[in-house]
Formats: sequence, structure tokens, C-alpha cells
Amino acid sequence: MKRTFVFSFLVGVALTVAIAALFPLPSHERFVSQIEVLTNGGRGEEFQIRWPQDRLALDADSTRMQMGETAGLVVMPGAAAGPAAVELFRLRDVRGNVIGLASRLTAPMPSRRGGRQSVSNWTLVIPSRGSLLLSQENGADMGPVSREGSWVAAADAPGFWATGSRYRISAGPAPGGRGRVVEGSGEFAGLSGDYSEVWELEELGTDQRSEGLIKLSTLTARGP
Amino acid sequence: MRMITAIVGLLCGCLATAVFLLAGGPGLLKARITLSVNEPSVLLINEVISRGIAEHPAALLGVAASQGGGFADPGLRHVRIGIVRLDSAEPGASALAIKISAPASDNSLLNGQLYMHSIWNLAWPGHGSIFLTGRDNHLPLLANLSWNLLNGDGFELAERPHPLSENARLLGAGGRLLAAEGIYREYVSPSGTGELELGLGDN
Repeated sequence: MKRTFVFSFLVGVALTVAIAALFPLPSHERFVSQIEVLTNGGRGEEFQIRWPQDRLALDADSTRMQMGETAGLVVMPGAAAGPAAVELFRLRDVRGNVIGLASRLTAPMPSRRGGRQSVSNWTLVIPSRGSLLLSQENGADMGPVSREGSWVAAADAPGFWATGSRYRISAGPAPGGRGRVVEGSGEFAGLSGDYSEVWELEELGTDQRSEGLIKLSTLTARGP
Repeated sequence: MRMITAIVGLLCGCLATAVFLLAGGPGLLKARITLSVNEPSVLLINEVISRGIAEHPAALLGVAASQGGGFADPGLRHVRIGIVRLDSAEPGASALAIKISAPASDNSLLNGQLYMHSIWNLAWPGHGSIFLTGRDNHLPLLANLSWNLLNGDGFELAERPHPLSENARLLGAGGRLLAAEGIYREYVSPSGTGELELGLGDN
């Protein structure tokens, strides 16, 4: 009797271990990384976002945050300094594959020279590889714009494209007016460097709805 | 009689192994990382707009329904985004935050690892912004849910906040918090609300 119990107990242990080992946990699909090795050290990688099709819509009722008229735009109004806004996008590699998610959190912040300045933080999450955290001072106010009682993204605001069709948004704090790579995780862990954010307009409708491309060009190297 | 003994033995073996794995498996033999937060700031997670997989251990097992329609893109199928308004526990300004999470690629039930990598980005307009990076340990939540299920309380969390984050770091991003460093801890409650404890080392 004792032998039967011990034997079946061990069978139970083996069965549970086998289930735990073979249980199909979710895994992330991976695309080949489009990385350029730089001649003077480090590596370059460009990420792209096509708007409006890469904007991620959110379906929710919120009493304390306002959903923007532009899809994927969530605004927190009410702060004395001005509104803060989150925009959500699919993130693509240079071949156009959707490899992850990107969020852009924009808010007015104290400037290094006094006064206030529009600042954006990008969170790039590539589930199969890791994440990159980017921060920059903006060359113009990139916060949401109130239009007829609702919020629209800066790119859809009247007059935004009045002076050109290609804007470099990054204006510091890294040298050369580039943004700062704050941190990386996973495959990006231990990397430091800078990046630039460039918006390229491809089409502007009569209702100010725009189409275009955001390019996030990162230059990173293994930190000291 | 022998058959009954065999069945009882089998169930005892399964149960003992499941309890061992849910308690952390081989990780039980390693030292646990503990956070030391000195006088942290407490932020209340009162409202979350989310899309993607649920913030629930079942989602990490691939058996929970997605929220807000989920994501159709193959590379995004197991990702979650949450946009949160954070209110200070004491009178203070509110922060707008986004949390993006994805299951860790080295998750293994056999090794007692059921983690979600999480990135937070918080901004206080007119003040500063920070990033939080850490991994959320869902194994204790799964153990809690399993225990409640055995007790007949359903697959629901008990009504108390559960600590979630490990290896949790706070990094300055912009404004007056540009050079901030520290640690954080997130607590999750059954209703989907929770708390963030921020321990700033340099601000």
C-alpha cells in the first residue's frame, strides 16, 4: 500500500512537472532587426510611424481624461501649466513591419532657460526585443490643440504645416539639438545615446487632416 | 483499495508540485529581492483606459480575453497599454501616465517565472516627468487566485492590494525631475485600481 502511494505520488509530481514544462505560454513574434553598424562605433536604428493609420484608437468613457478627436489621443486638461497628452501608435521598422508600440507623452515643463517648454517622452516597446525610453525638448509646442470643444493632435491643428512639409521636432537636450536616450531594456539594456524625431507631411486635406511619416532615428552605443 | 491509494497519491503529488511551483519553484531556493522605500510618495491609480491583454495572471497563460479589442498585428498580440490618471494620496497635482506591458520572453511555469515587463511614463504638467521600468511578478497573484478557487471563491483576487513590481527603477525624464533616480512599487487591487509608491533619491 505504501509503495503504491509513493509510486503514484511520484507519477503525480512527474505529471505536474510535465504540464508546467509543456504548457504553451504566449510568445512574441519577432522580425529581423534593421540595425546599421556605424563606422565610428555604435549602431543606428530608425523607427517609423505612419499617421493616421498607425494611431491606436481607444474605446473608453472617461470622466477625468478626455478622448481626443484624433484617434489615440488622450488629454488631461486642467493643469495650470497646460494640458498633458498621450498619443499611441504602432511602431514600424524601416521595412514597414509592425514591430511594437510607441507612446508619446507631451506636456509643458520648466525650461532650462526659464519659462516653459514643450517636452515629449517616447516609450518604444518591441515585445520580442525590449524597450527604449526617449526624452526630448520640442522645437515647437507639440501639445494637443483645442478645436471647437474637442482636442486634436498638433499635426492636425490649423496652420501647423503652414511653413513647410518636413519638421525636425527634437530640439535638445542632447548636443546638436537631438533628444536623449534615457534607458533601454532587454536587447537595448546598457545602451545610451541620442535620437532625432522628424515629421514628414505627405498629404494635407482641406479639413486639416494630415497624412505623413514620423521618423525616430536613434544612435546608440554601449555605455561606459 | 490499491486503486484509491494510487489516486490519492497521484492527487497529492500533483498538488504538492503545483504548490511548490506556484510558490516560486526553484526560485524558492534563491534570495528574494526586496525593495526599501523610505518615505515614498503614494499615487492612487483611480482610472485606467486600457487596450490589449488583461492585467491578470490568466492573460500570461494565454487564456484571458483581450480588452478594448486587443491588437491584430502579430507583433502586438500579447501587449497591453493603459493610460492612467494618477492622483496624489495627499493634496497635490495629478499626473498623466501611460503603462505599456508585455509578458517576459523567459517566462516558465517550471521555473516559477510568470513576469510581465512594464514601462511607465508619468508627467506632471509644469513640473517634470519620469520613467519607471520594472517587471511585474504575477506568480503570487496566480497562487492567490488558485487558492481562492479551491476555497470556492471563484478565480478572483482577494480584496486587498497585492505588490506587483520587482527590479523596479525610477529614472528622470524631463523638467525638474530630469536627474531624478529612485525606485517604485506598484500595488494592484481586484477592482483594477491600485497604488504606485515612488521613492525619489534625487530630485
